[in-house]
Formats: sequence, structure tokens, C-alpha cells
Amino acid sequence: MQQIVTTGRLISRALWNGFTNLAPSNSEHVNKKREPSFLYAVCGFPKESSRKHPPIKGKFGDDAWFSAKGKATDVLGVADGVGGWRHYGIDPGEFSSFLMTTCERLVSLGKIKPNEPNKLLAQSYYELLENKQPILGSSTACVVVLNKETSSIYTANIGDSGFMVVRGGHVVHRSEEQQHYFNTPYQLSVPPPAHSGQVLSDSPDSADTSDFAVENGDVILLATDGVFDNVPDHLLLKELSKIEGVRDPTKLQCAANTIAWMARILAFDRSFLSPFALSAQANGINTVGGKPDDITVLLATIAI
Amino acid sequence: MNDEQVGFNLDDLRKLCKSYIDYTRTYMDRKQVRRINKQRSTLDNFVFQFSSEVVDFSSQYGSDISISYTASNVTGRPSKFPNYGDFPQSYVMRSYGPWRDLAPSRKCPIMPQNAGRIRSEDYIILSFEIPVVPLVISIFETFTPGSVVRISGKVVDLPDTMAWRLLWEGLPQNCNGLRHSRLFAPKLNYIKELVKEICIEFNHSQLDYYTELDAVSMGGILKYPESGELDIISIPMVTHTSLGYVYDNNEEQDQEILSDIRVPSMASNIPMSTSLDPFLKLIKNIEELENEWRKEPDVDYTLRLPNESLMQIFSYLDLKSLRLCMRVCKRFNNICTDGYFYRELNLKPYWCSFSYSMLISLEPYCNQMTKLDLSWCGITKGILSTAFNLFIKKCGTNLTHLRLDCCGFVNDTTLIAINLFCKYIKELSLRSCTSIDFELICPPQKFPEMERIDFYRTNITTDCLHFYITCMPKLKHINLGSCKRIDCMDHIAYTLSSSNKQLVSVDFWKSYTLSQTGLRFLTALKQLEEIDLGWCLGLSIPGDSLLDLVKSCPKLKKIIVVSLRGVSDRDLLAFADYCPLLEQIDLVGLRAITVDACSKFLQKCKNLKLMDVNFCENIKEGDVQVWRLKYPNVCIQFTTSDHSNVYHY
Repeated sequence: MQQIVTTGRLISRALWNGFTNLAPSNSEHVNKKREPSFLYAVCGFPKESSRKHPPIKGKFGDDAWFSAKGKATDVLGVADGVGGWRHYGIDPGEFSSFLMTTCERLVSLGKIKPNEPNKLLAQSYYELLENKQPILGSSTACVVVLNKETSSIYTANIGDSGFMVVRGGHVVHRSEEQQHYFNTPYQLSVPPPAHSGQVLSDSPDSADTSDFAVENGDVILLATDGVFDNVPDHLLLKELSKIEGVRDPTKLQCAANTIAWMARILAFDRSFLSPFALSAQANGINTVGGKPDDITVLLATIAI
Repeated sequence: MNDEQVGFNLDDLRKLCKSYIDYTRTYMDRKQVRRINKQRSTLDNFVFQFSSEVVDFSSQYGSDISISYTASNVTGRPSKFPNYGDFPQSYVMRSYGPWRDLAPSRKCPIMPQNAGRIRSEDYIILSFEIPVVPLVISIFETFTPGSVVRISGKVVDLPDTMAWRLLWEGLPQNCNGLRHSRLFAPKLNYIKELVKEICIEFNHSQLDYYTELDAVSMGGILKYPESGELDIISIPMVTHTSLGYVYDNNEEQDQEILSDIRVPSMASNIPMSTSLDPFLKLIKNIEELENEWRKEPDVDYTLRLPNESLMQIFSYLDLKSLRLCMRVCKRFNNICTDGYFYRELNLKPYWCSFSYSMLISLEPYCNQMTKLDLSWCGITKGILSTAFNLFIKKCGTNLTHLRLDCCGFVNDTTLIAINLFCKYIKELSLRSCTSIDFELICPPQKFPEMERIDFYRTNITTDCLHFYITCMPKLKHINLGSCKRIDCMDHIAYTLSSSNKQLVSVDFWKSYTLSQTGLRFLTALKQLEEIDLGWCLGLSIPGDSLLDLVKSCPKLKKIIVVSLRGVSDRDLLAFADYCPLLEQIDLVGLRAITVDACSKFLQKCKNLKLMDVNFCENIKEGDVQVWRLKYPNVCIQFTTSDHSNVYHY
């Protein structure tokens, strides 16, 4: 019941977001050069849905996401807070949430050039240190910037969150997982001063960047590892192919919800051979089942 | 980081704000609806806009490359208003309260009789997209409101030196009981011209803590009505926006019924005086005064006073009055043109009409000039650096104090001029002089008498600074805050420790490249009374370096270690043990400090006046309240949940 309420709120919020992102193609003026834009929908589930706190925009448990419009850019991003900090009394969600809201501010203030998503991550990371309130923790991050002038996306990824671009039923571009070793992704972190030597901390320079030209109708899926570890690729591909070229926000939202639901159900399925289980077995750990984790799904189509 | 709740609760908003006019239609009664409908017909082409760009500002808390607590946050729509608190999304300035004037690095005021009733400490110039005739300017203050003292507007299509008009002026408002955000929209002087840029000036001396601004909006009409009459009664209500921003007028007026003011078409222009004296042009009613003077007095009592008494009397006059007196009679003229009155010159209050002609008109009298304050006079771009250099050459021989804060006309050549012609210079302030490129690394001569130099927010490089410091053997005070081009502050620390052992105060605010090594060099400065290490993130883990520093500098009175997260109880207790004269300490954001250590610290430091423990996770409200009762002489800064940061001094 709680999940339906959550999804209901998410749907309504996402619809509102979706409407504000409707492409100018619906308007009557026809610009000589059409600029591409993202039409996006978001859905997700925290690992443990708590009844105490009302849902907060931009966060799903320890995951966080943002969307922003800059001068000639549309930007989407996700971040996955590393849960291990809870043992030290640090809220992992604070770090990822701050990272994402700072990215949003940087984009709307126009401080970021369209082809430098890694600078966006880097500056957002350094802003953490400029805050009076000490923010500790670590997280992965993945940012996709749509350059409206050149109709291409520039991406930066640190860790095991990622994105996938689907065109004509095939995956044409995707990010690669960055891991130090199994279940330990690359992560941006700000450790407590006393422990800085012992904590894994990757610099923003180690982000994987890429750029890719996009066409009208391309589908981009931006998600945290809660999705990629639980939902096999062929299922994702099936869902994403269905909404190629779709501009109806309701349909987009339905697809996002479907993917998030799938991830949720499969995560708690004890006997399912999830991508996580397969990868664990490849690393010599004999296990089956999904991986319960926070799930964040950002689904966008390119509309020109 | 505050979490953003979905939605916007109007009830909470009402509880937060002192008084409001609710614009959503459902809450209005019929009278207000009728009034609004009537107004809409009279005030069409009314435009309401938020500021789009920051043109210039004097200081900011954050660094130039960051977006936290910096000036760029003031543009655009408010992001946190009406929430109240210390947010990184707002604009914060560098200082507050009386504390700067109580620190060892305080500067003496120049020509204090010229400062006027309201002395401003900071400014920000904002530009808007659409030029309008300004009718209402609203400033969204989200923390410690009350420091705005002046708002000026710059008219479009006029040369800078004649374009600024005063829109509002007032004393700093005492808002120390106000614990909620405030929309400050004072009653403006109505002018007829279009304005695109405004300058807001601040005075922080009455503030409890830092003031923070979220946004500034300007509402006005696109064209002044040709009939020349403006129905002012309708203005405040029309600042309605979709989120229903509330209105809090500073003066105790009935907001809903403003008096029916009609601005006549022949609005009081500043009458043109017969003289060409640029100062006299600033005075209104000059014709009346001149007419009065032309009347023959019956008895001239001033004839009985000797010249020396008259000089004593005139020494209390501000510059405008002095220039007026000069034109009264020949005797006064002889007295007032004596170089005695021009030994200390402060032109900061006249920044909005500063020009080359103003400086030239004073030149004949300035050959004995020792102190010159031209702060902010570069805003109007009324003078070129070559002209100013010439002025320095002519009148700078006896100059000891020179303040050129925020002067855009100061460049490398000016520094050379100062170096060559001002041999006795003791104090040089170049705050926010961003036009200096410091390409000439080494000054041609030494600065043998220099005691105080201020490079806050300049583009000085490490090499250049090294040479400047080695040229100043008597240096006592140096400010290197926010000097972003210095790439090795440790090297500078070493230079200071070897050439300036008598250093009294040093400011390293936001010097990211200062590390433990650099700090250890500073142990050679035994006379140190003030050190500002705020946001020196290279010192996040100070190790033993802070301990070593305080052990060798027992005269320390002011220590700032904001956000050096590794500072621990051990350091705090060392401050207490080795620095008995400690008066001001800033411990914002130190999560490792515990209540016990603070209690011991307060007990030991008998001279403590200010302690800032905001954002220290281990310190709770209850502890702070106990301390405030026990140590009433100490101002303990801590923002409690109901924001009662109460300490009235």
C-alpha cells in the first residue's frame, strides 16, 4: 500500500516534471534550427521504505538524482551514496544528495560549459568542502549533459551507476562500471579528517568521460546499480525499445515505473540469478538472488 | 543541508513572517479585490524582475571560484526564502558587528568628520535585464536582516559620473529580535528616469551575526507617464508573484493604505549652482543658501575670532561644508584653502559622482596630504590610471596612508607610481583591486616605512608577493585573504617569517595551499596577535602545527580556524593554556570539538569576548545557554533551533 502511495506521488511529481520539460515541438512557432531536449521521467524506491519521513524530491534512500537546464544544456544525473558510512554514524544520503543539488545549482547558474561534465562533478565535489556544515561520506556519480547546439551528449561517470543509450532496439552506447574490486566501486568521498588515510577516495579526475551524437527518438536510461545489478539487459532493452521516439509523458512515466518495479521485485527475489549474482559467481562467491538496494531510474528521450 | 519538502505550506509561511499581505485570491476580501482591479488599470506596463547579474561587489565570504556564500547567489529567483538560516545558497559578506574594529588589525578611520551619518562598509552592484523607472526594490534577507543602509540607482544613457541617483538611505535597522527572514522594501525616492543597475550599500555594525541575502527584485514601470503624475498608492500590492511573497515595510506604516502621494512633473531637480565646483553641485537648495549669504549681516561675529580658532572650528566640517565656507568671503577663503584641512582626505562618501575633475579641484591644496581614502571611487570609472598616477606624483610625497579599495583604475603602473613617489607610505589598502595584473614582479624601490598592506581578493602571484614582502622590512599587518593566484602559500609564510619578525597580524582566509609546513614557519613571528586561518583546507589536519604556533606566539588575541575539520580538543586547550590574551575565536564547523573542552576553554580565557561555535556537531543548545549565563561577558555565537542567537552588546 505504501508503495502504491509512494508511486502515486512519484507519478504525479514526475508528470509535473515531465510537463515542464515538454519540447517546443508542441508549440506553433517553428524554429529554423530545432534544439534537442530531454523529456524525462523519474521513478525509484528506497531500500527500506520508511513510514516516518515523507518522500523527499531528489532522493530515494541513499540515492539522489537531479535535473537542470542551463544556457544551452539539459543535464541529468544520479548519485549512489555508499551505505557503509552508517556504521560510523554518518548519513550516506546526505553526501549524494548534496552532490546532486550542487550540480543542479551549478548548471542553473551557468557555471558549466556544455562539454565538460567531469568539471561539473569536480566542482560539485569541491563545493562540499566549501560548506560550513561538514558533510562526510562517499558516493558514486553519473552525469549526462545534452549539448543543445551540437545535439550530442557528454557524460561523466565515477563508479557503478551508469547510463545506456538505446536506438532501433539496440544499445548503441553505455557506460562502464568502475570498480576497484568486487562490490567496491570508484567513489568520490570526503572522509573524517582523522581517517583520511584509510578511506577509499577517488579523485574526480578518474571519471570516465565520453561524448556521443544523439538523434531524435533515442532513449537514455540513467540509473544506479540497484537497477543494473538486478535487471538483466534483455529485459531493460525490451522496455526501452518500447518507448523509442515516445513524447507522451505518461508513457514515459509508465516505462520508468515498470523498470523500477522490475528492479524492486527482482532485488528481493532470493532465487533469481541476477547480474549481481552472476558477477559474484565469476569472482568466486557462490550466491543466488537479487541485491536489495536503493533504486533510481531516470528515463529520458531525445526530442528534436 | 536542509531537506526540501514537497509543496509550499501557506500556514507555515504566515507563522514565519511578521506581517504579510496574502495575494492568493481566495483569502482576499472584497475591498482588496476592488482596489487591485482599480490599480491594474492605472499601472500597466509594470515589470517585476529579479536581478540577472552581479556587476561588482566589495567582499564575499566564499571564494571566487565557488558558489557557496558568494555574490552570484543573489541573482535570479530566491532559492531559500522564506526559510531562515545560514545557507550556502545565499550571499554573505566578510564581516559583521563591531568585531573588526576590536581586532588587532583594525584600521583607523580617515577624516572621520567626513563620514556622514551613515558609514557604509560593503556594497554590491546588480544589473537587471529590463530598464525601468524603479518603484519598489525588495531585498530578500534570509539571515540576520537589517544591514542595508543605502540603495542607489544608475540611470541608463548617462555618463557614469552623473548617472547615480539616491533611491533610499537609512540607518541600519535593529532587527536583533527578528528571528525570521525579511523582505526589505523601503519607500524609495521616486525618480523619472530608467534604471538598469542598482547599488546596495551595507553597514554591519549593529548585526548579531553575518547577514545573508537570497535575492533582490526591482519592480517598476517601463516609461514614466507623460502626464507627469504617478498614483503611488498602488505600488506595494503589485509586487505579487505566483508564490505570494510577503511584504514587510521597515517603517511602521499601515501598509495597506499609503498616503496619496503625487509626484509633480516638475520634480525637484538639483538646481544648477553658479559655480563649477563639483562638490557644491551635490548640495540641494544651493540657490537658497547662496541668496541668504548675499544678504548683508548686521554684525560679523567671526571678525572677533582669530584665524586659529576658525581653523579649529572648520576642522570639524565635512568636505562639502568646507568647500561652501570657502566661498563665503575672502578671509574664509584664505583659511579654508589652507593645506591643513586637506591633510586627511576621504572621498568614499562621494563615490557616486567621483570624477577626474573632482580630484583635480582638490589638487592645489593637497601638497601636505598624508592620508587619502579613495575607496569605491573606481565604480564610476571617472578617472584613468594615468591621471591618478600624475596626482600621486604631484601630491603624494607626504602620503602615509592610502586606501584604494575596489578602485578599478588602479593597475601595475599605479603601484610603480606609489612606490616611486610615496616614500613614507605606511599603509596601503588594495582590497578587491582586480585590475592589477602584477606583471612587474619586483617593485623598483623598497617600501621602507610600510607597516600595513591589504591584498584581499587581488590577483597577486607568489613571486610578486615574495618580492613585495622582502621590500617591506617594517611590515606589521598583512592581509592575503582570497588571493587565488598564490599557488604556494607556504613559501610566503617562510618569507614572512624570515623578513618580518615583528608581524602583528596576518590573514590567510581561503588560502588553500597553506599547509603544516607553512604554519610551522610562522612560529618565528613572536609578536603575532591575530591570525586568520579560515578555510585553509590544506590545514584540515593540522597535526601539531597549531600547537607549535600558539606555544611560540603568546600574544595572540584573535584566532580564526573556521572549517579546519581536524582541529581537536587538544588544540583548543592549547589555545587556552598558551594564549592568555585571547579575545576572539572562531570555531565554526569543527565537528571534533567537545563540550568539555569548550567549558575548560571558557574557564581559562579570562579576556575572551567572542566565541563562534556554529555548526559544531557536538555542541548543543543547552550547553550554549549554560555558558551564556555563566560567562556574560563572552558573546557566544550559536544559532539555536528557534534561531535565538541572542547576545546584545
